[in-house]
Amino acid sequence: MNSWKSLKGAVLTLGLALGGQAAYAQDDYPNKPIEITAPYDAGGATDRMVRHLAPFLAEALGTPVNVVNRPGGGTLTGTVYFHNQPADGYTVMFIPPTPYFVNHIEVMNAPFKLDDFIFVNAQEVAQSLMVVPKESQVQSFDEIIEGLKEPGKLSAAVITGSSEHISLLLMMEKLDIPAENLRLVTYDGGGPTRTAIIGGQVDFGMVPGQGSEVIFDQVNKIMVVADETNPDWPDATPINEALKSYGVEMPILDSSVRSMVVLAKLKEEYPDRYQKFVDAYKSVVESEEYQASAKEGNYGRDWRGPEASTELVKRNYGLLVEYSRLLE
Amino acid sequence: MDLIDFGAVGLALGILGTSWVPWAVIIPGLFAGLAGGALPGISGTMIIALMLPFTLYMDFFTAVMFLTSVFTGAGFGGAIPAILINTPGTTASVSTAFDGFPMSRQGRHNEALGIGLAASTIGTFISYLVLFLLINYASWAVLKLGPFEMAMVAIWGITMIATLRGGNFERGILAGIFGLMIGTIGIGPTGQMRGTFGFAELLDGIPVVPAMIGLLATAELFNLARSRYIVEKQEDRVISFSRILQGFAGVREYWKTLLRGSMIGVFVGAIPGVGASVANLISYADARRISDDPESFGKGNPNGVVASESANSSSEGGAMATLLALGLPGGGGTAVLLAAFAMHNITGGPRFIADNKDIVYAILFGNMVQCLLLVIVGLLFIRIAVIIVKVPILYLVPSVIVLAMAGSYALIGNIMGPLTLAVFSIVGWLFARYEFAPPAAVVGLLLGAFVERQFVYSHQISGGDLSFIFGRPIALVMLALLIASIAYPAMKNYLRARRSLRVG
Amino acid sequence: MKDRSFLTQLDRLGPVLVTLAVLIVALAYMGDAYAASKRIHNLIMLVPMTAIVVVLAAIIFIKELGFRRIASRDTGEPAKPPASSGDKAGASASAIAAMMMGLLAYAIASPWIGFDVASILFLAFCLFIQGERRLVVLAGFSIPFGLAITWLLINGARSPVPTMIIPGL
Repeated sequence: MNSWKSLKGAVLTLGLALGGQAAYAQDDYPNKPIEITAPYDAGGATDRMVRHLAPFLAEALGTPVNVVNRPGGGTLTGTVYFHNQPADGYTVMFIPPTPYFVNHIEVMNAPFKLDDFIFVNAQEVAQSLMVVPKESQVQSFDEIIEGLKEPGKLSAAVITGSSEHISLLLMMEKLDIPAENLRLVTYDGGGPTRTAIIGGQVDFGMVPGQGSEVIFDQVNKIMVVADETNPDWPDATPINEALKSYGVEMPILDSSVRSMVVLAKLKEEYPDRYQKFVDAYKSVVESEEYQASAKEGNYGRDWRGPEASTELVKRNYGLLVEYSRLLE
Repeated sequence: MDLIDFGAVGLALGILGTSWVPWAVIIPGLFAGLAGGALPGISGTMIIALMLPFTLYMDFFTAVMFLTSVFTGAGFGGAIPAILINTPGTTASVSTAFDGFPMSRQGRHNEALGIGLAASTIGTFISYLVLFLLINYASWAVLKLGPFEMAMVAIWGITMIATLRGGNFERGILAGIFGLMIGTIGIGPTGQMRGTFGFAELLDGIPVVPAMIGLLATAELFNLARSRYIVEKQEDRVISFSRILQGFAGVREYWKTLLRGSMIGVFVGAIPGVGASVANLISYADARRISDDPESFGKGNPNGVVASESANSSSEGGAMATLLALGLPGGGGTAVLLAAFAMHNITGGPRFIADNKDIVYAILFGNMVQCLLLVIVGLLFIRIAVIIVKVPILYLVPSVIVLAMAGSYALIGNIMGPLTLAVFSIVGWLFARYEFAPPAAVVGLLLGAFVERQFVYSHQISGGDLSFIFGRPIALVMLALLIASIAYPAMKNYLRARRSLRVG
Repeated sequence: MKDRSFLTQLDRLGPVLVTLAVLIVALAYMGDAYAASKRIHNLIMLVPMTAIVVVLAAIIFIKELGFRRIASRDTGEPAKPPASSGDKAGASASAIAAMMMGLLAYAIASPWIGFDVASILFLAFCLFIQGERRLVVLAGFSIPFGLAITWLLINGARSPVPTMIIPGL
């Protein structure tokens, strides 16, 4: 009677549980190599970071992990490629979605939306750093602001359309300094920007701090766009602290947010694979071995997880959309 | 700063002597580079990128030896089809074909290959020697080049090249400017799409390698169809290892051109964004300019081959200098090297050099050894490749074209590659037939986006005020050179025309 | 005979026609760029370049058409034909033109009939145009070579070429 029923119930439950386990175990993901799509040329900051990460991931997942560069259209080509791949967990992407996605989605009618992706982990949140070459005529934040008040006195370098570009223009707007006062040169990428700065072609520049370590010996870091001082750059004053005496406040716009990305459909259709990937990746990032190695190479090594990372990306995306009018 | 740090030299020799593994990868690397460079349509950068995954399990020094060997091999590889079938295997060997192919037609293919190989190896060696001596001072000069200077260099290069093979001046410049313009097709400086007419594949511009092959090679290949063999006379159609060696040794005669070419290559190669593709053309144009017999260029003057090959090879050393000293890539190949560095947690830059002098010197010495090995591997490779002269053109021409089409597809990844090749073959044939200097169009295409960027930067950095240029002496000198190099031939033409009218 | 002289006339006007084509392309591109954006950075190089093209084109037109008229008026002889033509100008030019059209067709047709089939047809066509008529040779050379190259593209270079015969990626 009752006990019979509960026995049946127990057997059923046990059977389901065991059956479920079996189904989970039967999906032997991953059982072939995984590709990390890299929508940029080899050699840049993001590329170096993901190539350094790949072997650790390969070990944790037990399968080869290949980084494949698919440059073009300023990350558009590679992203479209990734977006077209089956959401089976064998293709993932590593990319700083901002500012590129803003241009692709808002301006160029890309065939994807932000919600098509899950940002599994924003492993590195680069911060915009203001630097001056050692021989520059201006050596402090206040000197720069003073210099900006004189039309045409100062020149600066930033990456076209980057967070630095927007932060700089926004800051000048808030300080009531006309944008034309600054001779602003906008370069195609981090490399030429850094070259111009250390070559003394410009008086100051703003770059993604993480990824620009190569020039740190020849510049002074004077300001960082962040809430608090970054312990790696003790001399760089946080922006709102530097602006206190001027009575303005700036929103904190992060620079490159280098993230591991999977297709949102992966979580819907293969939740176990999604979880397995996330867990393996998390274990890598949090491992001592990786932390030490990444620190040596100056690579970001944070674990923020999918929810926090997606929120971070969306926040920055929103800010960029709001202030991209400055670029007109 | 000492010129040479002898303590580090000692340590370097220690590194080199520790293990045989780094040495073992040099020969496969050279071979891979040679093969990749020799296949038209496949660029040197592509080969290095393909080899990158293999380096994953090597230690840093071995990986660098392997990849730089590929780089060195590809530097000469492109010359082989340039000389034998007038089809540059890579953009770095464009001007090698100008005199190399006529030499083949005259039955001097063995010598041409030998000379080219010698120029390549010695050029590379010289560039690493310069690097060794100047590594402490190496790339700082490059940093001082601002946008005005860069724009002047690019335009001056193009005007020099427009008059490369003699021929009609206005039409040459027109071709160059045409190349510059269509070289900017794609996303413009303000983020707008220009000239793409709806084709997503054109977002990054017209694919350069297929266009180059079309403009320079396929058109000429079709013209070849009138002959039965590349080498006209049967008795010349031999593969003679001794003649290859003779050519190789004979480079001594052309030592002046060799030295000039190497120097030009080192400096041009060191400039980020420019590289072997431009170095070889500038060197060729320069050799022609200072020659006693400029008319002989383009008809089989070995100086042409020497100038081109020494420059494209020595640009490797220049690019490595920028890479090691600044942590910045000089061009496609060194960008991949940078990625390899990253896989081993190295970033290059002054701090890297300061802390790791011994490794840097070891890399330099290792590369010098590569040059020596290139001689052997290169000679063997040539010995095999030169069989092509025995193939009747009937089969050769269509086969090469199909190969180039395939290579274009592999490189670009979609039908735009072969389509560009086909369209530009037609353009190239028309240009060549009516003296519109196809090489000028090629260089324009290569540099179009670069020049435009420099114009934009110049405008930005000067705040729109052109008098800014007066504060930049280097730029002024270059502007003067530019005007002179245009005015001089124009004046010559004008005076000649007037004289002939008067006489007639 | 009529064909021959038409082609020869066309050939003589070659420099003018090519210049005209370059001019049209330059103006079309300039127009497209201007329509995309009138901002100075978008046009800073294109405008001077287009201007130079227009000036050079004018010079070339005047030189070619002007002198020719003068020359033929004076001597009654036709002006100098283009550099690389010989007596075979008519014949070989049409064979070459055919091969180039063939090349274009090869590129355009590949997505439809496959790179392998297109290569085979192109190879056979070139042999045919150069005088080879034996079917054994045409097929015996074109088919293996075309298939081999395509196979290498797919399996060696891992390129996703469209194919008809060789199994794709």
